[in-house]
Formats: sequence, C-alpha cells, structure tokens
Amino acid sequence: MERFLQLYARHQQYLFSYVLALVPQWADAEKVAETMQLVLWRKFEQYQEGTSFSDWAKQLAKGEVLKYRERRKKEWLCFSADVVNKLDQDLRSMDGLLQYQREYLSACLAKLPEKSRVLLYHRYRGNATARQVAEELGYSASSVGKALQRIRHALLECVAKTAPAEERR
Amino acid sequence: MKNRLSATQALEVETLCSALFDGSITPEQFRLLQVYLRISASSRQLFIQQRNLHGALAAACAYEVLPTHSFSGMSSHRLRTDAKQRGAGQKGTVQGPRKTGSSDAISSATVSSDTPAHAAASTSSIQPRAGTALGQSGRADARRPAMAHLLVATEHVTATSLSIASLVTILALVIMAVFTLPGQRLFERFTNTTPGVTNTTPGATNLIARFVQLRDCEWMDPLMAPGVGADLAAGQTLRLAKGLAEIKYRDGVRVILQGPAVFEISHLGQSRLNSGKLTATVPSQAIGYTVETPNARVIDLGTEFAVEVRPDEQTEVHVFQGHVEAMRLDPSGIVGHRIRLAAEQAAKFEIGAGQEPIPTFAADATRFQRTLDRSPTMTARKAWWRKSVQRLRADPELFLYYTFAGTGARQLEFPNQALAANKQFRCVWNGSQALDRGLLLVRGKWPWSAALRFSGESDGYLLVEGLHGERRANETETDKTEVDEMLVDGGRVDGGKVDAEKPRIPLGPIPLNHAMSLVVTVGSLVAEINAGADGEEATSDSATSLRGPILMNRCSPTGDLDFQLAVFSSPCRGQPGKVEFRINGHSGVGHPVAGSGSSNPDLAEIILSGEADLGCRRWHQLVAVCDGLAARLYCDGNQVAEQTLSKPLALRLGELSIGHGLMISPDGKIKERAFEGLIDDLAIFKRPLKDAEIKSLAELY
Repeated sequence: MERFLQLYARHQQYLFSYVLALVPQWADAEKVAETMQLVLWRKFEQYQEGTSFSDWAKQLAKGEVLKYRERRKKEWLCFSADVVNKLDQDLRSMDGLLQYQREYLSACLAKLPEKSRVLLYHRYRGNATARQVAEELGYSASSVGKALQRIRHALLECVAKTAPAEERR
Repeated sequence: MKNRLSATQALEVETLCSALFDGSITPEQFRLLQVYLRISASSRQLFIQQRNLHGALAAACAYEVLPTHSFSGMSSHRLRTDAKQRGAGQKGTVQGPRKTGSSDAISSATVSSDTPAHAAASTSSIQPRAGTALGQSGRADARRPAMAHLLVATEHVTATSLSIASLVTILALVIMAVFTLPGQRLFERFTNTTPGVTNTTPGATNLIARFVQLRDCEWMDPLMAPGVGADLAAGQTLRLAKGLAEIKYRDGVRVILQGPAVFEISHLGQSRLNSGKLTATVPSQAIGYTVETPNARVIDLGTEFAVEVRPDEQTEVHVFQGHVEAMRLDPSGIVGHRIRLAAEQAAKFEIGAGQEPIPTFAADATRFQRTLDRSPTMTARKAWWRKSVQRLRADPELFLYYTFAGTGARQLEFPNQALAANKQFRCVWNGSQALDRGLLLVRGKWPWSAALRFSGESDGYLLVEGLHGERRANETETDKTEVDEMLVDGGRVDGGKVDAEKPRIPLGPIPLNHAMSLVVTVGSLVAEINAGADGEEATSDSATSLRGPILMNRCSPTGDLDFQLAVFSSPCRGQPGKVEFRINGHSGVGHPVAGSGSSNPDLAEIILSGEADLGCRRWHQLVAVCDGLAARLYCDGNQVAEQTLSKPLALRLGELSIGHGLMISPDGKIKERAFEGLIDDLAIFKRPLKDAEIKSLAELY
C-alpha cells in the first residue's frame, strides 16, 4: 500500500494532465481523474514492480477516458475515438516536455505583467469561464478571452525560452 | 515533422484551445479543432502543451502560488520544494496557519497524518466550497507520505472527501511555505494596478499615460484618489464614478473622461470605453488613435471627437474637428458597416443593428466636456489658496509648517515652510525604505497639493530635526555641515537614521510660552479593496483607515509624552470618530525646562477627547489649541472638546514625530503604534489661534 501511495503521489499531476488532454471539459476530466484514482488503487496488485508506473497508470487512465467517452459520445463536446488515440500517442512522446513546462511555469508567471496575473488568478481560481471573469472585472467577454489566449501564448513561449536547451526535446 | 502548421493555423489552434478552455467554444469550433487534431501532429502537440499549461495554471492558482510567489521573488518551484521537504521531515501534525481567502475554513482545519479519518470528516462539512476545489488534489504536486495516508484512509469514505482530504493537506503545506515568506497578498498588489494608486514602481516601462487634470473625481474602486501626474499603465482600467479626469498619453493624445465612465488605457494609440463619455483631442503625430466600445470602433484621422457609450450600450460618436472613421463591431469583434464622419457630424451605433445603415445626425458639443484648461473656478481657487498659504507662511508666530510637497533625493524630507522660523527644522523620514514600508506621497486635499499616506504598517515615521538636538546661539541660517554636526550631537548618525545605542539627549526643547496651536489635515485611506478574489472577503480591521497617533511630542529623557494628537475608533463604519489630544504639561509658570521628569509633582495630565464626524471620503482638519487658560480641540472648524486649566502649561517642543506615537489604554498600558491614514498639511503656531482663524483655516485645508 505504501508503495502505491508513493508512486501515485509522484505521478498525480502528470496523470491528471494526461486525462485533461483527452477530455475536453474540465469538470468531466475531474470526474474521470477521480474514478481513475480508485481504479488504480483497486488494480494495484496487477502492477509489476520494476515496470513503468506511469505507463501502467496511463493505460488504465486511457481505459477510463474511453469509458467516459462511450457514455458521452452523443454530446458534441467530446473527442472522437481516433483523436483520443492520436493524442494519447503524442502525449507519450511528450512526457519530458510537459514536465519541464510545469516546472518552469512559475518563473514565467513572475515575468508577466501584474494585470495578466490578476486576470489569470480570476480565471483559474474557482475555474471561472471567460464570461464570468469579464463580468467580475468589467471587461467584455471577448477581450478577456483574447487576453487569456495571449497570456497563454506568452507563457508557452517563455517556458520554451527559459528551459535549458537539453531539456527541450 | 509532417503537417507543420503555418503561423495563421497555429494561431487558429490557439484560439480554439482558448475557446475550449474558457468555456466559449461553439460546436462548429470544436469540430474544427477535432479536424486539426486529427490531421496534424503539430496541432496535437500545441494542444497538449496548451492543455498542460491550463492544468498547471489551475494548480498554481488553487494554492495561491501564483500571486504569492510573484511578490516574494522566490519561484514557486522552490516554494513547492520547500513544502515537500517540510512535509517529509514532519510526520506528525501538519497545521495550516490561518490563511486568507476562500480556503479559510479548509486551511484552519488541523490535519494530522495520524488521524486521517478525522481530517476527512472535518473537511467533508465544507462541501460547497470544496466543490470548486474538487479535483485540485488530482493535479497537486505536493507529493509526500502524509497526503498518501490520507488518500488511503479515506478511500472508502467517498470519492469527494478523498479529494478534499488530500487537498487540505496540500493546502496546509503550501500555506506553511507561503507564510514563511514576507507575505503580501494579491489584493495589495491588485490595488496597485487599479486606478487611484500612484504607481511608484521604479523603472516601470508600461506607463504610457498620466493624469494631467482631475476635477472632483470619485472612483468606483474605493481606493484613495490618484494625484495629478500619477502614471497610468497599459491595460489599466479606470472606473470613474463622478467628476472629470484628463489623461494624456505619451504620444500626445488627450482624453477627457466624464464620470460615470469605465475606460481602459489599452495601449499607445488605443483606448477602450466600456461606458460613459469621453472627448479625445489627437495631435497630428498620433493620428490613427482608436477608441473601441462594446459595439463600435472609432479611428481618428486627426481631430477632436467625442464618444459616448450609453447605459443601453448604444455608442454615439460626435466629431468636432477633422474626421474620424467609425465602424460597427459585433460582440465577437467582427467589423461591420463603416462610416466616415466629418466635423459637426455624429453617428449612432445600436446594439443588434445588423446590416442597417448607420444613422447620422448633427454633433452636439454641449453634451461633452471638451476642455478642462480654462476652468475659472479651479484657477481662482488655486490663486486664492496660494495667496492664503503665503499669508499663513508669513505669520510671525508660525513655528513649523509642512506641506509635504517634494522629496529629497535620498530620502523623504520636507523643509519647514514657515518663513519666520528656523530653516533647519526639516521633517525627515527616519525609517528604512519608506516607499516599500507603507509611506507614500499621494494627492492632498487639493489637486495640486500632496499628502503623506501612512499604511499603519511602516517601521518608521517622520521626525522633525533640530528640535531635540543641541542648538547654537543665533543660528538662523544653517548649512549642510552644521546640520550634520548637530545631528551627530543629538544622538543621531548621518543620513537621519536614529542610532539606537546612544540615548537621545534633549538639550534643547523649545519653549512655547504657554500657548500653541496645532493644525493638521487628515484623511482616511478609505477601505481598500480586500475583495480582490472573493467578493465576500471580509474587510479587515486595517481597512478602516484613519486612526492612530498623528503627532507626538516628547521632551524628557525618559521618553514620556508631552503632548499627542490622535484619532481613535473606526470612522468609516457609520459611528463618529474619536479624537484625542493629550497633554502632560508642566504646570509651574516659567518652570525650568531641564531636569523635569514624570516624577515632577507639577505635572498635569490633560486629556481632551471629543467625538467628531470623520467621514471617510473627506479631508478633516483637526486643531488643538492651548492658551494659558484652556485647551480646546476642533474638528473641521467646530469645537469638539474643551478643558480649562488651573495653571498655564509650560509647553515645549522636543522630539516631534509625525505618523507615530503611543497608545495609552485606560488601564495605563503604553504601546507604540503607527498612524494609519493620510496627513496633508501640518502647522504649529506659537500662539493660540482664534475661532475665526480656525474656521478660515478649515476652509483652506
């Protein structure tokens, strides 16, 4: 049990980010991540020590994502199976990249102008939509959406620049 | 890599990502996104990176890593590492100190790794809040055994409390790390980006405009008023409730904003008016200046024009000189019909007008404020003020007079403006890093005057130099060396820093001949925004904003109080404020100055305490007067307290500090504390002021 916890804690954010990439809606991604936690724990005896925990966990996570997709496939806001498969493949090759992205994010956040940080804060604290943020701060929804897009773009660029060259790929 | 995206395609993918993340995606857009993801590996990579960033940002904000670390200069990476180490080394109880914001309830719960079930139980009662926080545990990266214990122990409770329980632990950890930093909160920072605050950030490069004139402005953000000359940053939003504000951009564009209005200083060459009226005058070098409203865009072609966004969101454009090009803008930013307007023409942009032609009509200049320059009232008022101040300064009995305008190069220091008095009595900030520690120069009672803003947290105060040092005979003019020598003699070292090791030698308190008047203008900080993130966040006590000792005078070596003027209670909350003037006088007529301590039997303690309306949004003038017979206290020209004296008091000026003093509780406990509020002008006369004089001064300040 101890071992599971160690492994799980180490990969928690990684796994959530994985699920998030495959499930378009945030709330759904959270639900999938929750069930995934339980499934991983129940099936932990099947995990073979010495093999990659993240690969094993991702396999199960993907299963959960597909199950969720089965249930939701009639809704439009849901990736088709082939897109999920392709994203899944790409995600596997991008592990390192995504890891350093998360690590260097803080340094780049510090470089943002205050206004952008405030905007991000309002957007992500409590997971508000652009419209809600706009109402709260007195901007138009479209301008908030555009601003957030620009901020994200700047952050990704900054992360790519900040990271040491050997980590880039 | 195959299927590399062009710049336009990449931008489109980013736009689609943003639409998806921020909840505005349409089925059509989502279908397009899927097409991109299906056919292009590059777009998948872009999408995955965006999505990863999205998750990481949410994690950062959930734990307030985002706002906090940005001020501390410490990267949140390190912060998290700290948290991890702390957690690993501490297997016992992890206690979250009280934390600000919505997670108060969560973080104040004690989380013990030995009794995880208890922790889960105590947190499951906070479901409503935790609902939004749900799943944050899933993306947390505080990885440590204690959290893992929680996970297991609560596994069979419910999935929900499972997430919350681990969240609690993580929060507790992050909070611990946060509290080890010089904790500044987002909200404080937030206030600095909002109008109303003079931007003092050195070297800020995005300051693209400034206030050049302000008339009777009130701001919707309940912050203190900005002064003329205050810088404005790109992207800053101004919410003017009332009054007129003239803004000048660096490229020469002048905008007069008429309240109520919501206006954004977008960037050079562009502004946004969300509501209200503005008039813009654009010089030739800035042609192309654009004003956007919710449903129109106005591009200047060298002119003077006005824009109004009415409460029903209709936009009107009036041209007074030159030409503008105006166009319809639909909510998604797509440009519709265009129209070119010449002088004296106006056009109206209605919501949902679709393809209909834009109605035009004659411009109406009377509805807009086109200039603030020739304001007869303001000019006259200023002239009157100048004249009155000149007269005041020339008063032979005026001993100290500080307007707090202008600063020294190295530190805050203000010359004594009283003409008859000794020039050496400068008023100098004695704390460290004045600007960082809560002292700011802000707009005073008049648009052209300055005031000091004490946050109540500063470690220093203003001290009048020379009053408690050794004085020489016949010194009327002093040069720098003399002042410096004098400072050393007085137990102070160069630069005005108090040397705590040496006792202060009160060689020269200045006798005031039993009579004096103390005049000070104070204002409140006004409840500053504390509701930055959560609306419902309680305003802290510190937001009440006008209280504490304003001015304190001590002469004796024991540091006893000679007199002190202070404001107590919270005037912003509807009840009257309490003003107190306390004198520990020496009642013997012509009593020798030196050698008198608190043990002196002639010591008289007089406490004048009065209630006064100290409403938050106004300046108030407090006057304390002592003559041989009585002591009186006035607020805004009205007497609020009086006490007769059995004998004249031998008043002296010694160590005179501004913005700092002693709190004396009824049971005699004494505590030093800092003033919280604004101080505009301060004057001390060596004579009692008459009632009529006090009334006229109240008008002046």
